Amino acid sequence: MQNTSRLLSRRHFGQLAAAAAALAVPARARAADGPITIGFVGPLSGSLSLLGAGVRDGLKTWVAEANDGGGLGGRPVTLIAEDDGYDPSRTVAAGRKLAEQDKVVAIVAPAGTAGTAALLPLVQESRLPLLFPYAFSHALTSPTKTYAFTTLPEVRVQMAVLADYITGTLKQSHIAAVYQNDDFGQDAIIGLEAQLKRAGVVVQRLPFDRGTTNFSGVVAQAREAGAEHVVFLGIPRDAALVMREANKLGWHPQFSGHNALGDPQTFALAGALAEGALAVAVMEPLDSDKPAVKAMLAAQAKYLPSTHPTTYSMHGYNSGRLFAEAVRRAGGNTAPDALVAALEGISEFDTGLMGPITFSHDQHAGSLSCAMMQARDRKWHVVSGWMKPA
Amino acid sequence: MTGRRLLLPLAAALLALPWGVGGYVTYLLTLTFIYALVAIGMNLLTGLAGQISLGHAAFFAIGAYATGLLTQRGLLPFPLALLAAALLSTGIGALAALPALRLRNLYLAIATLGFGTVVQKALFEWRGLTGGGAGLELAPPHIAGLVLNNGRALYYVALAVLALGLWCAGNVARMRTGRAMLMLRDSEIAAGTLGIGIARFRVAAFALSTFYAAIAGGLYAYLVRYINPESFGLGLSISFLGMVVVGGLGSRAGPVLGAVFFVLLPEAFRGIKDAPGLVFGLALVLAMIFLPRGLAGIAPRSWRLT
Repeated sequence: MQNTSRLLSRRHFGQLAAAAAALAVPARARAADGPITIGFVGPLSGSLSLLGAGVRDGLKTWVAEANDGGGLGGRPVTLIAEDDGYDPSRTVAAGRKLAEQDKVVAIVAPAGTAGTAALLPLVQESRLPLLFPYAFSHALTSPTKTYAFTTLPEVRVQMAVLADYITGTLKQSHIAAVYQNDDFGQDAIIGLEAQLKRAGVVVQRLPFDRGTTNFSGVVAQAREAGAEHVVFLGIPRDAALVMREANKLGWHPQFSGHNALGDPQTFALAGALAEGALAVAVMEPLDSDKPAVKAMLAAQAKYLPSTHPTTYSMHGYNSGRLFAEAVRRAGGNTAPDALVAALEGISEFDTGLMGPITFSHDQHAGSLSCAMMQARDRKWHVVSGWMKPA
Repeated sequence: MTGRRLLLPLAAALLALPWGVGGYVTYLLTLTFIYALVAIGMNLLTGLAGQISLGHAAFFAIGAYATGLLTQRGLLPFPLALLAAALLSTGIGALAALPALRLRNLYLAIATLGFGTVVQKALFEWRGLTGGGAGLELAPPHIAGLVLNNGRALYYVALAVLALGLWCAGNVARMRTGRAMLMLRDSEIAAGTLGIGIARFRVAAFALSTFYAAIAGGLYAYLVRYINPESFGLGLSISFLGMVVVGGLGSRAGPVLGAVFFVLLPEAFRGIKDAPGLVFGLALVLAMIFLPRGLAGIAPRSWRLT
């Protein structure tokens, strides 16, 4: 035993000290005029890799384009993208790596609601801006977190805008809501109900369990109650099933849904039955004729020709544009508090890819605007301006 | 003796490490310790008693949620909450094991797989308590008035619990219970003729392993500080089993080495462009081909439990 402790004190302690020194990460200050390094984390592997890789590709497109144009204030931008496989413990690991080893100035457009939620304590404690996640959680911005900023309107806001459109523009008052009975669905129905109530309209609640494939019951109930408008809150596959069920009964009410419905895959699933359906838009559709959308599509085709543009990649690209605006406003100062101050000064900033963005000291949810789009000839067309809930 | 001689410098290195490396490495090591704890428990069940579970993510989840809820609602301080959660999980584990008494091996594996799904669904649906799919965010824990808000404090807590867990597992294996379990694994008939209560020991092995899983779960909740039902799926249960098998069934160092393999290796492969998952999978296959006794096959003999 004594022999062992002597060994430790002489030889092993020396080795240990050397090993510790070699492993230690040199604490280097954030360079003032070197490259600007930003981080991304999201599911690049596993079942949700379509989401993570999509957002990353959009962000990559923006980085390539920005560097082609001379960088941000003359400084090139470097992107470090990490995979979390949609596992929050790995999101935190990746976040710590980005913060400490890569010294990123911000995590931009992290993808996934759970992972983003898990990053919150880390970014708040290490003062690392977490910008524009692809997540729709209410908790991200309420109460306001100093270093977290979002751009995508949460589902309650979407439902309020939809409710206004139904009662104001369509002048309909017999509404049924077929919704997924989970947190998302609960959140959505509360938002829809509250806003419809203000116009004196009562919504018929028709919940269904996730994973069910038989919608004949809820559809029959909605029809019997005399609904003229059916709001569907769930995944596009189930929306298609509801549309088919109604069609079987020879019943053709107005269908609508949240932003997930407004995806090209709805046409693949529902075919012609989707014609005329309405969806809330949180960003411009890919089919939009707006010049900003055309420019984004052209940029992705130019810099990442092997990838396909999606609404996810548009979000990544849009996030890059907003980040550039924050850096410009901060006068090139990428220190965390300078970025936060610059972001809080952004007002009615329009990238052309979504509604105008406004942040303030107390409001870190940048967009409360949504638009309505309608399915025509297997494409989504925006049929309204960007609206805020009344 | 080789094992002993390595022990002290290793302990010293582990104690000093958080002061030499950043928070990122400290976090990963803490996560490794936590998964190692689950694997130690699984090793008692699989390596010693020869039973397979595909539902341990559920007990890990029960530990995480119970610890988190007990502390966040101010009902118990962190260390007591951890213990209470583990006892709760052990109780549930013993109950779950009772109907599985007549089940063995693959049958038990399928039964536990079902149990895991049930728990995950329950966590999802019991919104009032668990927050449902939106998950649960946790404020940093306290121990005796001390806020454990930096990674180093939790690292030491996890390291201490791991050391204790290793020591206890070693004792269980050496004592009557462990020998009885081993006998069960090798021959139930022989064990029966010697008067060993087959059912009792099978339940004991299962309950013990769930105790380990729940303690680890409680630590996990406070390491990540965000828990949601999706994190505790079948994939995690399979990873736990993988850790024990890759580490080396029935070896004392095995579960720890297995956890190192499952946590640190994917992180080390982050740099490999586009194919980190592929490389990890390949490493897994190669480890099984060339190290049939698991990673512990390279470790000294004195580290084996059996």
